[in-house]
Amino acid sequence: MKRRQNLFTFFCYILICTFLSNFQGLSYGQENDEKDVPREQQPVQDRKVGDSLVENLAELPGKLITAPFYFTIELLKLLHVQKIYLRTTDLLTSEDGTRTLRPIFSPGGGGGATFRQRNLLHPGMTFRAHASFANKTRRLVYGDLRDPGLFTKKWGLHLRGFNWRKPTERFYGIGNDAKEEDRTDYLDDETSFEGTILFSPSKETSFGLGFAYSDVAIEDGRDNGQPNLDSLFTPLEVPGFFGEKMWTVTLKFYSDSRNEAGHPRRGAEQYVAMQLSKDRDLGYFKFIVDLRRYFNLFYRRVLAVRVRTEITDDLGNREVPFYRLPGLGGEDLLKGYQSYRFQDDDLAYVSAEYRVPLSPMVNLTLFVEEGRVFQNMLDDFTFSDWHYSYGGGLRFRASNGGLITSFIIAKSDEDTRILFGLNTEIRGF
Amino acid sequence: MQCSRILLAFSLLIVMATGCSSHKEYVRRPLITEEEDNKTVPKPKERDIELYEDGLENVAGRPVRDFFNLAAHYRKLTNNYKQAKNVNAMQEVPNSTWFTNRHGMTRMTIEELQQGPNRGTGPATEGIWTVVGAKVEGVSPGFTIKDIRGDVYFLKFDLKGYPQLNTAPEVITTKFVYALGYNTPENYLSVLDPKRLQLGEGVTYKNKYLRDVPMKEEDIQLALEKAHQTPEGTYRVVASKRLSGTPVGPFKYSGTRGDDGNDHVPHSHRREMRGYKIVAAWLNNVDSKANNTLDMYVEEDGKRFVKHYILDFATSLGAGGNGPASAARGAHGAADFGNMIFRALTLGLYVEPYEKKLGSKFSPSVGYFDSELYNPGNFAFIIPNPAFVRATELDAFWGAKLVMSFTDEDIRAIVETGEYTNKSDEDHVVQTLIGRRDKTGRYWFKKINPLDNFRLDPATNSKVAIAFDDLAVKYGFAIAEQTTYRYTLRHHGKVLSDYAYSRDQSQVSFNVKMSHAIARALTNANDPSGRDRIFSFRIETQRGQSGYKKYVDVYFYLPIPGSETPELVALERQN
Repeated sequence: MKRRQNLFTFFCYILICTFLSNFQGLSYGQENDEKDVPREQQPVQDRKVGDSLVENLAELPGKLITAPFYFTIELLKLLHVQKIYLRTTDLLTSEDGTRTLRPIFSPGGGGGATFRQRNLLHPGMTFRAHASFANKTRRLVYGDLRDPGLFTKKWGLHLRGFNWRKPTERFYGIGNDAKEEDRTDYLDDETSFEGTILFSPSKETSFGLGFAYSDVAIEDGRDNGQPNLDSLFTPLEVPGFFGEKMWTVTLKFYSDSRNEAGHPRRGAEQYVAMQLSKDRDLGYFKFIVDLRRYFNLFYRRVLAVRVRTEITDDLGNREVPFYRLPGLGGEDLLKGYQSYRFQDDDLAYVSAEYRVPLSPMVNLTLFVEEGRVFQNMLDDFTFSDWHYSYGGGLRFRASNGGLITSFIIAKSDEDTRILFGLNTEIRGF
Repeated sequence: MQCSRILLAFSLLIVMATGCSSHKEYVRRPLITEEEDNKTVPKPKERDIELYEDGLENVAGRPVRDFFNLAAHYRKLTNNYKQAKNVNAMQEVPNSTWFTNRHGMTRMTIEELQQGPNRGTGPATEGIWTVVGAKVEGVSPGFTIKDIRGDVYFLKFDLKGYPQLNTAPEVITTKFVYALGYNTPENYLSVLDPKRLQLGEGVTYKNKYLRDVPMKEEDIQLALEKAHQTPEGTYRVVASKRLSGTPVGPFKYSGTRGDDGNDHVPHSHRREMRGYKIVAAWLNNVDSKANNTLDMYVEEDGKRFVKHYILDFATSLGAGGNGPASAARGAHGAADFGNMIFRALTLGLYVEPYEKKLGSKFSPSVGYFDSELYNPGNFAFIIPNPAFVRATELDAFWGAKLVMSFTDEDIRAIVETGEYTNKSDEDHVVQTLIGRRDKTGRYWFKKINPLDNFRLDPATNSKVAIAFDDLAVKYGFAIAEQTTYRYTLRHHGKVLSDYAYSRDQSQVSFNVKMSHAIARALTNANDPSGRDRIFSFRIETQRGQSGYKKYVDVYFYLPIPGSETPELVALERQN
């Protein structure tokens, strides 16, 4: 009985459909005012060119689904979003374009502003000042003066002073086997002044000699879900437990032969630095080598290789403060791990990244990286117990070669992390 | 259960509404050659189409909408696409405010081709050019000037280091597009001597924040620094004459303009807009978007109406907006997600042909422009153009016919107007255009039965013989001796005869059996409109040993013997 009813209903549907599709008045788009005269023989202005009712109905699902999208476009037009943005920028920019003020909004609910003055005393000399504040008393205030042509074009000066307050820094203990469950957090309140004299014998290379004074205060972290530093560790286990004032001298060398900055296809980037940092109780010597090389494999498929090592030595009976120890994890080294997941005196890190252009503006990136921290790498170096991370993502390229956005998913044996960078490198390459 | 029944019924409805094709009964009436969309209408409101609006709509909005359109999918499955809605019975485009049949219909002379839309000689070569407006920001600068005759021109320059790269394509492409029938501005090549440039009073320009700021002499210098200067200290410019009438903003390649009373046919359903896809691909003009068009409210012959222009060809041929075009042009659009996914899944191991050409050497005056990589059937535009997306093979065939209407001599004559300094550059552009033209014709004439230019042959003794041009044979893509035409006679959709064959001869006519069949068919002919006296030939074409390809139906009116002459009524091509 039920089956018969269904058949009857189906039959009725077919009848209705047939009726509708042949009903002259309903599918008006396919018919003509002049009976039986094909559209091609009617004056164009008299032709009815709309779609039939059925075709309009068939378009309905798509129209409904895209309605919010079109509503947004209309709203954007109505609000003149682009013009409001441009006018605001215009208001905050000097007539000659050398002085700008930019508001900053951070996803974490913070905000601030950056002031920039170009061509301060002479062309190329730039001063920047920045202040931003966010939740949990997070803050960053800095002033930065760059002069690439101090005496001649080969000499430059970089002066910087900043104060940051990072309320949820992580510390898992010292050593390559630090456990995830030992995670603690602390507040790092640091004020620093730096001055660097730069010498650039060529466009690709530069040497720098820098002097810095920093005052670091370590307090209880503000992440309520995590134990504080002092709940798991003691000052004897962790040098620099309360922070310290320190002087630092840095000698550095930088060489950049990449063909472009945002998406290099060939060339290399080399950074070598020696750092001497000292105070009453703490002091260390640090040697950093960071080498990146870009190989154009074939038709713009790029292999990027990176090697980094950091070796830190105590100065006499002084120790290295824990917040200055080399660390793995975060957006730079071993992206699949949380920041500062592994810290110790020495560090070794290698990575390889394969990049494929998907379109002129989008690149696919796949990477694998390995790293390990050592108490004394030169004596105890081993290939066992290295931590690895891998992943991939997309890099969006501006027409001038600069990087607009990166979106990367990184995986390790502990974590899967999604990293998103806007107008910045997700550090690494 | 209930849902699935409704879905089934809805699907059936779509099938019936879109899939039912009925036989068309043509009547004998004059061919529509004018669209008559130039009636006086009130002036539409001036509008702007933001780049993001056009881009988002065509990259994201429309594709999603189309994806969920069941009728469109069914049409695709059954090869029953919506055809252009403004064509006449002979499948041609009537003249309108959008398009005027020119070289494609009646050959223009070499002089006319070289003259293009230009009606004068360009800006006055003597006296001061007063700057009355400027575009200072951006990569390519431009000035609006008034010459001593009072004519206003917009000056466009070549980018520094690339002499003729942008100015030559602007002039050349303008002339091709105009000759094909589209409305374009008058673009003249001229020379700007900075000493003759004088800043007008109270001139402002829009800065990068869209604010009107007073223009200073330094701004002119700043803008000129970006342009290519000749060793004599002058600048080669394209002087684009201000269009007559009042600008009312760009037109979109879809929908109609609600405030233009003459705008009846959705632009994406206009054949000339769809067919422009083929023209633009041939000319490597990838930037065919709404912002490169302009509607002008004009007064002609005492009537006021909107006229539709296509502009800005400075990035056609081998020129790009920021310098020379690359080999990647035309390969993929800005948002070709399918290709991006394919490349990601294959980890970039598949190297596309254009990638092998990236980094090739080319002349700085021409940029990368070749015919080797050109794929007429799969040419991609930066932003998908809604009219191009809707283009069917019939539209493409129409566009290909236009492109093929240029002979080698025509092409050289027009390219000469680009005034390349080096003959080798001119030769390269000419040879490339010829190569791309032939690829265009070869490709699209295979997709559609390329029989065209049908005419009644009077030399056949009271019988009807219809002669035609086989475009594939005419342009050398097929050999006449290896071509056979098979045809049947039809009346009211019924087949009256067996197949007849015409070998290596572009003509079909009655045979004896057909004449008998006609006599029988006319026994009951009593329709006073003459509809009963309309017959058709269905013609199919075979090349060599391949099968018969798509048909063409040619409708003709067969009068009572001795009373009138037969005449062609309509043409239908299988898509």
